[in-house]
Amino acid sequence: MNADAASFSARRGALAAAARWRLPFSRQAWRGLAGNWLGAGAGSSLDFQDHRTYVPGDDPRHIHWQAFARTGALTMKLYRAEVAPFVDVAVDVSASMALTPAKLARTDELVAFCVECADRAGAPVRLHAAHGRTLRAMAPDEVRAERWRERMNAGGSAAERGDEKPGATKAGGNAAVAPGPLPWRPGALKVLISDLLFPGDPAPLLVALAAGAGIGVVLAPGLAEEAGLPWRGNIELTDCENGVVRRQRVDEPLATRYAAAYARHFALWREACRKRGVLFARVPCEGLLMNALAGEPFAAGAVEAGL
Amino acid sequence: MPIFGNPAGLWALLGVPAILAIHFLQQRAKIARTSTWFLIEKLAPDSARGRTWDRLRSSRALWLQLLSMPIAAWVLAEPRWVRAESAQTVAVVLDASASMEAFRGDAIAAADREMVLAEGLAARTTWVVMTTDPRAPALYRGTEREAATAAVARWQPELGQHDPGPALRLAHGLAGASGRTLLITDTRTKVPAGQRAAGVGRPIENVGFAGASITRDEGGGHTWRALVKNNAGTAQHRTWHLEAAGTKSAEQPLDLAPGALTEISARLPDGVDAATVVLSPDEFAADDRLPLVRPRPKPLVVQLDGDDGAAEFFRKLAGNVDGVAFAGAGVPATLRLARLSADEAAREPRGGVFWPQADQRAQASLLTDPVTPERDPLVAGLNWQGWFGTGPYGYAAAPGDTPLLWQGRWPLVFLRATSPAPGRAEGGRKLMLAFDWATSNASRLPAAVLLVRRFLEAERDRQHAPYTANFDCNGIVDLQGNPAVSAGGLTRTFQSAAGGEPVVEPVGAGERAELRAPGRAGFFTLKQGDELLVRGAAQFADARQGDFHAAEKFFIELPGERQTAIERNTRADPFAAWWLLALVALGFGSWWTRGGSPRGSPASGEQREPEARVTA
Repeated sequence: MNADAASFSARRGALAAAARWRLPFSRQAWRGLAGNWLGAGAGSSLDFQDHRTYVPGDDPRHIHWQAFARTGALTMKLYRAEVAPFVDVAVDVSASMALTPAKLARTDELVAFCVECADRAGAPVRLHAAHGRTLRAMAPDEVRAERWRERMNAGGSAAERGDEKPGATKAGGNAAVAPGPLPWRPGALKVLISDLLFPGDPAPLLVALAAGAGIGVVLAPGLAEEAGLPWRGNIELTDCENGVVRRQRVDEPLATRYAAAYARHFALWREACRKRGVLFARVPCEGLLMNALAGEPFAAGAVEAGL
Repeated sequence: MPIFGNPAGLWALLGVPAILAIHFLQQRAKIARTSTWFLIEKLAPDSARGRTWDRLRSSRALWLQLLSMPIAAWVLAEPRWVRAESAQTVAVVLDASASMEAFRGDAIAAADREMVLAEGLAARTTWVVMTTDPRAPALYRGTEREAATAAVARWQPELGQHDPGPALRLAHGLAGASGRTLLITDTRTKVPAGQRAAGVGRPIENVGFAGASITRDEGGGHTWRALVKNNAGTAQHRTWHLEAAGTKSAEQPLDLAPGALTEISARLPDGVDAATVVLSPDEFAADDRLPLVRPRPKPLVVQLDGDDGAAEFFRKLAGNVDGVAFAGAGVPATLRLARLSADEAAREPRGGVFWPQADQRAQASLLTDPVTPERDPLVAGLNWQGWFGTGPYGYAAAPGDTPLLWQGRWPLVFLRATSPAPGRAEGGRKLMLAFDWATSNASRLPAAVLLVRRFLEAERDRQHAPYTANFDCNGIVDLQGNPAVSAGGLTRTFQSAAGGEPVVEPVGAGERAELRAPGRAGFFTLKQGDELLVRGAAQFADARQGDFHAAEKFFIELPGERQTAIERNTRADPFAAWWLLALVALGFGSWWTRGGSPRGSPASGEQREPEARVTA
């Protein structure tokens, strides 16, 4: 599959999925700019919310005159605000996210899906690409135009740009590391797109994701091949992150232990997300995105029906 | 237990590991990228490098191929079964040359190998272990291989240069037409044509003694001289010192050019009767120590009568012979030197040298007839061409006399035996000089001087008395004058020059006929009962034994000799054709199992593992 075909597929898949699913905007009241969604505070919508005493400066049009007639006190009639929530999307662009064309395409589809959902909700969206501890902001227009990866590649590697932070590399080269710290905005719908294939405690990443008001969502694209070791015998394993080669003999006991460790790794992530109220869902890379979201993402509440 | 007509066929067994290796290596390491490196690393931290060898996967083809290899080896090795009635004689002939001492361990190993190879070639094997020493009996002859091996371990090479032919002919005679003989030696040139042989030698940079002499000096002491030869192809540096009576002299340096022969000498310390000259050691130790004894010949007391010119000549001559003393007051003489008439000489009971009264003829002419010697040790090799005199005179030979020299038809010098003295087995001898001494040139003719000296020395050695002398290793020890030697009771005490406890052993009847000095350097004594006969030192003197230029390792095998023995003593494997058939069947089965059927379908149903996908 070439790059053009992958981009076309990502955009088309995202549109198809966004026609049926959307990010979980309806899970809570939002704060933000005026929009189509009920806000957490008082606003100018038609939905009555509360009464309160008038204070100078209030809009006299909202004085509840009937109550004034009955009680003689100026009472303000409050309506729910209608806001457009902020959407923050952080996508892991480490090498493992592009291990196979299918996984690369699914990642692109999820990014495009998030942008499409935000556009349809009228929510301002901010995107960041994270490669280890290196962050790079992406313009939503680039995502809409399906050029964000080309722009990222044109910008060179983090090391070449000189914006790689100290400690970004690990022993043995650029081994898999957790992205971050990520610049989440308080009260935003925060979506992290990452395969979570890096060692370490999930807590630091999830604490930031769950901090402040808003909703945290983790969408983890995963390959079926990654869940097990498909080979037997002597294998020259190459770490996709740093190219380090390791000669490893794979036998049945090792494959069994690997499958268990892989499952345990994501069980830990799932449990950690549950404790912190972060929505977690693994998104299979196989099949259409529309169908993939209907499974665990929908069940976990990471997406909701858009109709 | 079968034997193999073609043992090289067993190399086919190497096919087993080869097949295993092929099956191990047939799967190459696959290359794969992974996104879960951290998980794998945590699970297998010690397997930074996997095994180069893949796990052996069982398959029918593998087992068929493995099974075919032993069968192929069996068929190629041509197994044969020993006939129950077969018999053979294996003769191992060990070179008895002293040079083999340097390779004794290798020679024993070669003999052991030969016996191991020959064992089992027949149902019954007779082992003969012997040396090339024609005088030595076989070390072992019997059917016990362990005893034969033990006999080889007892072998001690001591001889000098000798011909191995007689011993080999004897070995071939013992082995017979169906037997095998093997000569174990160190040099290819010692091996006769058509003889199986194993060479166990190798070049050694040897420096050693090549002979020694000890002479009496004017002061009455003795001075020894020893030859040291560098048998190496390179210059050698050695040191030497003298060990005597528990003391050791200072080390003396000795530098020898390649192949050089040099002499070292010193005076034997006063009061020391035995000493050892020691060279710094090398790989061949037999010639590194030179034992010496101060020579003490048998005593001979002579009586010299007269004061004429002839008497004076004999006085000087006898005085220079070791061991000869002139009779003094109260000392009986064994030998008499005197001018006697024929009658006086006939009446004289003792032996001696006698010459007649002066010739009184006024005009006696010189006799020009040539002087002809008889075949006798006393005149052997002497040149009488310069003799001149008036011819035979004074004594006439009688029946029983032994002429030594003839001039014309008359004996010029002859021996006459005397009657034995009471208690003696044999009498003395009289050297009758039947010519006029004064008118002859006998006193100036070397042959005449040597004749008289030889006679005196011979008579001295015929005395019944102990003596001390230095001998070459395996040199003949003169025991004349001791007629009881042949009766037995003779013992030899030997102490190696290298030290150690003296070894006392009886002298066998076979040795008594021609008694020889020990084959190894050392000190020895010979006793008849408690009576000391000889005290001596055996010296390594055969320089050829210390030269290892031609020593080499080799093996000379007679073509077809082993094969002939196998065919004679064994019968072929009756199942050979079946094994061959099985081999063909296994080969075909392996080919079929591997998917070689004409239709190209995997007849065995064996499932091949797909190549790994380069995914995770």
